Amino acid sequence: MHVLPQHMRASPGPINHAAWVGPVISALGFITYFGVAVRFPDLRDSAVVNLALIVGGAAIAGWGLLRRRNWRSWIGFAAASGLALLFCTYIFFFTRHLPSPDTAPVVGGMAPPIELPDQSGRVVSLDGLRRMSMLDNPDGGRVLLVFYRGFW
Amino acid sequence: MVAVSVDTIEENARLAERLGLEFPILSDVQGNAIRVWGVVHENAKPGGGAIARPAIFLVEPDGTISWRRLTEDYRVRVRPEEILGVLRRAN
Repeated sequence: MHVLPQHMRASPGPINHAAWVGPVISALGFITYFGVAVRFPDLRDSAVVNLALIVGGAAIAGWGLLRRRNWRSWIGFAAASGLALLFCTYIFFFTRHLPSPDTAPVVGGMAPPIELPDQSGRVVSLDGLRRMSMLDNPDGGRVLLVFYRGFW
Repeated sequence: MVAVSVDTIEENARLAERLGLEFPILSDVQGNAIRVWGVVHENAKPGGGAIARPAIFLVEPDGTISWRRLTEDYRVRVRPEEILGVLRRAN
Protein backbone atom coordinates (compact mmCIF):
# COMPACT_ATOMS: atom_id res chain seq x y z
CA MET A 1 0.00 0.00 0.00
CA HIS A 2 1.27 3.41 -0.95
CA VAL A 3 1.49 5.79 2.03
CA LEU A 4 1.98 9.54 1.73
CA PRO A 5 5.06 10.90 3.48
CA GLN A 6 4.31 12.53 6.87
CA HIS A 7 4.58 16.16 5.70
CA MET A 8 2.00 15.63 2.91
CA ARG A 9 -0.68 14.12 5.12
CA ALA A 10 -3.46 16.40 6.40
CA SER A 11 -2.64 16.67 10.07
CA PRO A 12 -5.62 16.90 12.42
CA GLY A 13 -3.63 19.20 14.74
CA PRO A 14 -5.20 21.70 17.13
CA ILE A 15 -8.40 23.45 16.01
CA ASN A 16 -7.75 26.66 14.09
CA HIS A 17 -9.71 28.96 16.43
CA ALA A 18 -8.88 32.14 14.52
CA ALA A 19 -10.93 30.87 11.56
CA TRP A 20 -14.18 31.02 13.55
CA VAL A 21 -13.37 33.61 16.25
CA GLY A 22 -12.63 36.26 13.57
CA PRO A 23 -15.99 36.09 11.78
CA VAL A 24 -17.86 35.86 15.12
CA ILE A 25 -16.22 39.10 16.34
CA SER A 26 -16.97 40.79 12.99
CA ALA A 27 -20.60 39.66 13.14
CA LEU A 28 -20.94 40.91 16.73
CA GLY A 29 -19.51 44.29 15.74
CA PHE A 30 -21.92 44.50 12.79
CA ILE A 31 -25.05 43.46 14.68
CA THR A 32 -24.37 45.60 17.76
CA TYR A 33 -23.92 48.71 15.60
CA PHE A 34 -27.50 48.54 14.33
CA GLY A 35 -28.93 46.95 17.48
CA VAL A 36 -27.17 48.91 20.23
CA ALA A 37 -24.80 51.67 19.09
CA VAL A 38 -27.43 53.57 17.07
CA ARG A 39 -29.15 54.43 20.39
CA PHE A 40 -26.02 56.08 21.78
CA PRO A 41 -24.95 59.17 19.80
CA ASP A 42 -21.27 58.86 20.78
CA LEU A 43 -21.04 55.26 19.58
CA ARG A 44 -23.23 55.90 16.55
CA ASP A 45 -21.60 59.04 15.14
CA SER A 46 -17.97 57.93 15.01
CA ALA A 47 -18.74 54.17 14.76
CA VAL A 48 -15.11 53.61 15.79
CA VAL A 49 -15.82 50.85 18.35
CA ASN A 50 -17.84 48.77 15.91
CA LEU A 51 -15.45 49.47 13.04
CA ALA A 52 -12.56 48.20 15.20
CA LEU A 53 -14.48 45.01 16.07
CA ILE A 54 -15.46 44.30 12.47
CA VAL A 55 -12.05 45.03 10.91
CA GLY A 56 -10.26 43.34 13.84
CA GLY A 57 -12.38 40.22 13.32
CA ALA A 58 -11.43 40.20 9.63
CA ALA A 59 -7.74 40.53 10.59
CA ILE A 60 -8.03 37.57 12.97
CA ALA A 61 -9.74 35.53 10.25
CA GLY A 62 -6.94 36.52 7.84
CA TRP A 63 -4.35 35.34 10.35
CA GLY A 64 -6.26 32.05 10.67
CA LEU A 65 -6.12 31.68 6.91
CA LEU A 66 -2.36 32.25 6.87
CA ARG A 67 -1.90 29.58 9.53
CA ARG A 68 -4.05 26.95 7.82
CA ARG A 69 -5.26 27.23 4.23
CA ASN A 70 -8.31 25.00 4.26
CA TRP A 71 -11.91 25.63 3.23
CA ARG A 72 -12.96 26.51 6.79
CA SER A 73 -10.37 29.27 7.00
CA TRP A 74 -11.38 30.57 3.58
CA ILE A 75 -15.06 30.72 4.54
CA GLY A 76 -14.24 32.46 7.83
CA PHE A 77 -12.06 35.02 6.11
CA ALA A 78 -14.58 35.63 3.31
CA ALA A 79 -17.41 36.17 5.84
CA ALA A 80 -15.44 38.54 8.09
CA SER A 81 -13.87 40.57 5.29
CA GLY A 82 -17.24 40.74 3.49
CA LEU A 83 -18.82 42.26 6.62
CA ALA A 84 -15.90 44.70 6.95
CA LEU A 85 -16.31 45.82 3.33
CA LEU A 86 -20.09 46.18 3.72
CA PHE A 87 -19.77 48.23 6.93
CA CYS A 88 -17.07 50.51 5.52
CA THR A 89 -19.18 51.15 2.40
CA TYR A 90 -22.15 51.96 4.64
CA ILE A 91 -20.42 54.42 7.00
CA PHE A 92 -17.93 56.00 4.57
CA PHE A 93 -20.06 56.23 1.43
CA PHE A 94 -23.74 55.28 1.72
CA THR A 95 -24.84 57.51 4.62
CA ARG A 96 -22.75 60.43 3.28
CA HIS A 97 -24.30 60.25 -0.16
CA LEU A 98 -26.82 63.06 0.38
CA PRO A 99 -28.06 65.51 -2.26
CA SER A 100 -26.56 68.99 -2.26
CA PRO A 101 -28.65 71.32 -0.05
CA ASP A 102 -28.36 74.26 -2.49
CA THR A 103 -32.06 75.09 -2.44
CA ALA A 104 -32.47 74.98 1.36
CA PRO A 105 -33.07 78.43 2.90
CA VAL A 106 -29.92 79.96 4.34
CA VAL A 107 -29.41 81.82 7.62
CA GLY A 108 -30.85 85.33 7.18
CA GLY A 109 -33.27 84.15 4.50
CA MET A 110 -37.05 83.87 4.81
CA ALA A 111 -38.67 80.62 5.97
CA PRO A 112 -40.94 79.19 3.24
CA PRO A 113 -44.52 78.59 4.45
CA ILE A 114 -45.62 75.20 5.73
CA GLU A 115 -49.19 73.95 6.07
CA LEU A 116 -49.56 70.27 7.00
CA PRO A 117 -51.71 68.02 9.21
CA ASP A 118 -50.38 67.14 12.66
CA GLN A 119 -50.76 63.78 14.46
CA SER A 120 -54.42 64.52 15.27
CA GLY A 121 -55.23 65.49 11.66
CA ARG A 122 -55.51 69.21 12.46
CA VAL A 123 -53.86 71.42 9.83
CA VAL A 124 -50.99 73.40 11.31
CA SER A 125 -49.11 76.25 9.65
CA LEU A 126 -45.67 77.62 10.44
CA ASP A 127 -47.15 81.15 10.72
CA GLY A 128 -49.76 79.86 13.16
CA LEU A 129 -47.09 78.18 15.28
CA ARG A 130 -45.05 81.40 15.39
CA ARG A 131 -48.10 83.35 16.55
CA MET A 132 -48.91 80.64 19.12
CA SER A 133 -45.43 80.64 20.56
CA MET A 134 -45.62 84.46 20.68
CA LEU A 135 -48.71 84.12 22.93
CA ASP A 136 -46.83 81.70 25.22
CA ASN A 137 -43.90 84.06 25.48
CA PRO A 138 -44.04 87.65 24.15
CA ASP A 139 -40.26 87.68 23.71
CA GLY A 140 -40.32 84.31 21.96
CA GLY A 141 -42.26 83.58 18.82
CA ARG A 142 -39.44 81.38 17.60
CA VAL A 143 -40.10 77.99 16.05
CA LEU A 144 -37.59 75.16 15.94
CA LEU A 145 -38.36 73.19 12.78
CA VAL A 146 -37.05 69.61 12.69
CA PHE A 147 -37.08 67.57 9.47
CA TYR A 148 -36.39 63.89 10.00
CA ARG A 149 -36.27 60.77 7.86
CA GLY A 150 -39.31 59.15 9.46
CA PHE A 151 -40.17 55.62 10.44
CA TRP A 152 -42.21 54.73 7.31
CA MET B 1 -40.89 73.04 18.25
CA VAL B 2 -42.39 71.23 15.29
CA ALA B 3 -41.28 68.08 13.45
CA VAL B 4 -41.89 67.13 9.80
CA SER B 5 -41.50 63.79 7.99
CA VAL B 6 -43.16 61.85 5.16
CA ASP B 7 -44.91 59.49 7.63
CA THR B 8 -48.72 59.34 7.67
CA ILE B 9 -50.92 61.01 10.31
CA GLU B 10 -51.64 57.57 11.81
CA GLU B 11 -47.94 56.70 12.09
CA ASN B 12 -47.25 60.08 13.70
CA ALA B 13 -50.16 59.58 16.15
CA ARG B 14 -48.70 56.20 17.19
CA LEU B 15 -45.22 57.70 17.54
CA ALA B 16 -46.49 60.62 19.64
CA GLU B 17 -48.40 58.28 21.91
CA ARG B 18 -45.55 55.79 22.29
CA LEU B 19 -42.98 58.48 23.13
CA GLY B 20 -45.40 60.85 24.91
CA LEU B 21 -44.62 63.73 22.50
CA GLU B 22 -46.69 66.88 22.94
CA PHE B 23 -45.34 69.02 20.10
CA PRO B 24 -46.90 68.85 16.60
CA ILE B 25 -45.52 66.17 14.27
CA LEU B 26 -46.52 67.13 10.74
CA SER B 27 -47.24 64.62 8.02
CA ASP B 28 -45.84 65.53 4.59
CA VAL B 29 -46.76 62.34 2.73
CA GLN B 30 -46.37 64.02 -0.70
CA GLY B 31 -43.05 65.58 0.32
CA ASN B 32 -44.20 69.07 -0.79
CA ALA B 33 -42.87 71.03 2.20
CA ILE B 34 -39.71 68.93 2.19
CA ARG B 35 -39.09 69.89 -1.47
CA VAL B 36 -39.92 73.58 -0.93
CA TRP B 37 -37.43 73.62 1.97
CA GLY B 38 -34.73 71.98 -0.18
CA VAL B 39 -34.18 69.13 2.27
CA VAL B 40 -35.43 66.30 0.07
CA HIS B 41 -33.53 63.03 -0.28
CA GLU B 42 -35.01 61.38 -3.39
CA ASN B 43 -35.31 57.58 -3.63
CA ALA B 44 -34.00 57.10 -0.09
CA LYS B 45 -37.06 55.23 1.11
CA PRO B 46 -36.78 51.46 0.67
CA GLY B 47 -38.78 50.66 -2.45
CA GLY B 48 -38.41 54.21 -3.77
CA GLY B 49 -39.85 57.54 -2.72
CA ALA B 50 -38.57 60.76 -1.29
CA ILE B 51 -37.91 61.42 2.39
CA ALA B 52 -36.41 64.33 4.31
CA ARG B 53 -32.74 64.48 5.12
CA PRO B 54 -32.19 65.25 8.80
CA ALA B 55 -32.27 69.07 9.03
CA ILE B 56 -33.05 71.64 11.72
CA PHE B 57 -33.95 75.32 11.29
CA LEU B 58 -34.59 78.01 13.90
CA VAL B 59 -37.26 80.41 12.59
CA GLU B 60 -37.43 83.87 14.19
CA PRO B 61 -40.69 85.74 14.98
CA ASP B 62 -40.25 87.82 11.79
CA GLY B 63 -40.02 84.64 9.68
CA THR B 64 -36.27 84.74 9.02
CA ILE B 65 -33.97 81.82 9.68
CA SER B 66 -31.38 82.47 12.38
CA TRP B 67 -29.72 79.04 12.59
CA ARG B 68 -29.70 75.79 10.65
CA ARG B 69 -27.96 72.44 10.64
CA LEU B 70 -27.97 70.18 7.57
CA THR B 71 -25.97 67.09 8.23
CA GLU B 72 -23.50 65.78 5.63
CA ASP B 73 -23.95 62.23 6.93
CA TYR B 74 -27.41 61.06 7.89
CA ARG B 75 -25.99 58.83 10.64
CA VAL B 76 -24.69 61.95 12.35
CA ARG B 77 -27.42 64.21 13.78
CA VAL B 78 -27.41 67.42 15.77
CA ARG B 79 -27.20 66.69 19.50
CA PRO B 80 -29.93 68.04 21.80
CA GLU B 81 -27.24 69.86 23.86
CA GLU B 82 -26.19 71.88 20.80
CA ILE B 83 -29.80 72.88 20.06
CA LEU B 84 -30.43 73.88 23.69
CA GLY B 85 -27.24 75.97 23.62
CA VAL B 86 -28.44 77.81 20.50
CA LEU B 87 -31.87 78.46 22.05
CA ARG B 88 -30.30 79.71 25.29
CA ARG B 89 -28.09 82.16 23.38
CA ALA B 90 -31.08 83.29 21.27
CA ASN B 91 -33.12 84.26 24.36
